[in-house]
Amino acid sequence: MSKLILSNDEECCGASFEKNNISLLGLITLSIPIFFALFIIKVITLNQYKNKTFLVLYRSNNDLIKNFKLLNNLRCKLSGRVMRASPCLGNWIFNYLNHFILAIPWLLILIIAVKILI
Amino acid sequence: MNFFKKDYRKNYKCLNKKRAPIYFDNACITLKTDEIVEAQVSYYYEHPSCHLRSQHSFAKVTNKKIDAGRNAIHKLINSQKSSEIVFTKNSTESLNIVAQSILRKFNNKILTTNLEHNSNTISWISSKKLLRIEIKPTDEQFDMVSYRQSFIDNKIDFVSVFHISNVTGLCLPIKEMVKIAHDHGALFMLDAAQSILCEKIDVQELDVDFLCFSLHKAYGPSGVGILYIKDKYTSLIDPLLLGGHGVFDVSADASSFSLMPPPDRYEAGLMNYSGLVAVEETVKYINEIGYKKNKEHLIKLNEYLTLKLREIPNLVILGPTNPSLRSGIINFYISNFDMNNLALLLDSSYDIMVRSGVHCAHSWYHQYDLPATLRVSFAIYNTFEECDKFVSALKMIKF
Repeated sequence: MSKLILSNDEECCGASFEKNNISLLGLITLSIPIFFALFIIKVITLNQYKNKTFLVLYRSNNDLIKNFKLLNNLRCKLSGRVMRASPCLGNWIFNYLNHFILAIPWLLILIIAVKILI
Repeated sequence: MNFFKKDYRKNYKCLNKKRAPIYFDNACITLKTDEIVEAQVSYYYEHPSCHLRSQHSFAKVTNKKIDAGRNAIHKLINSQKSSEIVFTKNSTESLNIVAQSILRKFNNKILTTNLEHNSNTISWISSKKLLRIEIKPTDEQFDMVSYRQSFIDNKIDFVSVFHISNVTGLCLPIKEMVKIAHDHGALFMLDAAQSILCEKIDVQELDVDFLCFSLHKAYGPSGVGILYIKDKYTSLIDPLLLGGHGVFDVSADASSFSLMPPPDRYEAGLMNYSGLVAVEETVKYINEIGYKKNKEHLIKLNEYLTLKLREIPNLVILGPTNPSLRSGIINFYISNFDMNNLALLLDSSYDIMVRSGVHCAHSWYHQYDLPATLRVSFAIYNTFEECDKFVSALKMIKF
């Protein structure tokens, strides 16, 4: 049976029952670079590259990043509030806020690298 | 479509705001009418005093109102005497009072189901005498064959089960179950926490020996639980707490003491008086609606929403497929989407309040490896329009 994580902060009668344990380090070091690399390929090929392995890799990394509970209350509340005015933008925030936050370390590394090179 | 919705909604202040929320968490706690809230507040403003302790006029009013509440419950469930009605904090406390005495005094098996609320599982776990009838997430009805067989294969002293499941809404055939238990010499406790509003609870007709429910799930005050103990079994059940009001006398050397007769012996310590004085008003409201009308309304809403939810892909409803067998409960999950997140999203986007998680039934969720689910539960003030808004909100969210 999958491992259970029960947070004592909000856990009452299994109110925040969660069965997946996704590692933050794994996401930053592996999933984020893979996802963005595949995303760039998707953009360059105008979403025409339909290789099965490519799509599975893209979707599974996307799901892993999306399902990670990172500032989860904030993500839900923020996207929920935005959803009132624009459901489309609200959904976008909910689906991609984690991607943005987890990409920050890579962006910093990139900025530093560029500065050193210049 | 909602032939009585307007009359009932107007009694709830929080439903009459400019931006009224959609409250679908009624299996957890129902909203309270203005009259019931006022009844509680009146205790603090008009007669803040102890029950059965002081002689002054404030205390007399409190005594009178609490006794009236006890009588109202006695009539509601048709017990033989009003002294069979004990006030507790909640159903959990009621179950624990009975469980602790039964575990001390009986040696054979305790029979329950695997779908019980934690209160009716944990209370019995320590004994290692627990036997559980299996209820699967797809079961349309209770397995009476296994139930009957349990009495043949084991020596069972006590049965403690829910009436309506807070997880799937499944309703158990209590009258038949009690008869089988009694035929085999076992006592029977009924957890009526979810059924008090929509099933006829007549303790004499059902012939249950113990019964519990909480008023916070029945439009009543929080912190008021009811425990019914059949008169002939009061000597079997010891109080959970000692001291305060429940004591009749203590010897000079404090080596022995005697307790008050029931129900006072079970009500030691200061009680939730503001809640207790609102019991009569709550029962009046329950009777005004009537369990038939309430049940009919909940099932109509359940049938309507179930039909609408079938349009949403990858949505799995737990429990019987026929909504009329699920009372006012729809508990579901959507594959590959976290239901806890969905509950948060619904609240912050469309003011829809639902419950997510494992609904105090951890063991059952583990047993069938189920993800967290989202539970919609109805009450008399919910409407078809709210169901429509709920479904359109779900459709707005990209799963």
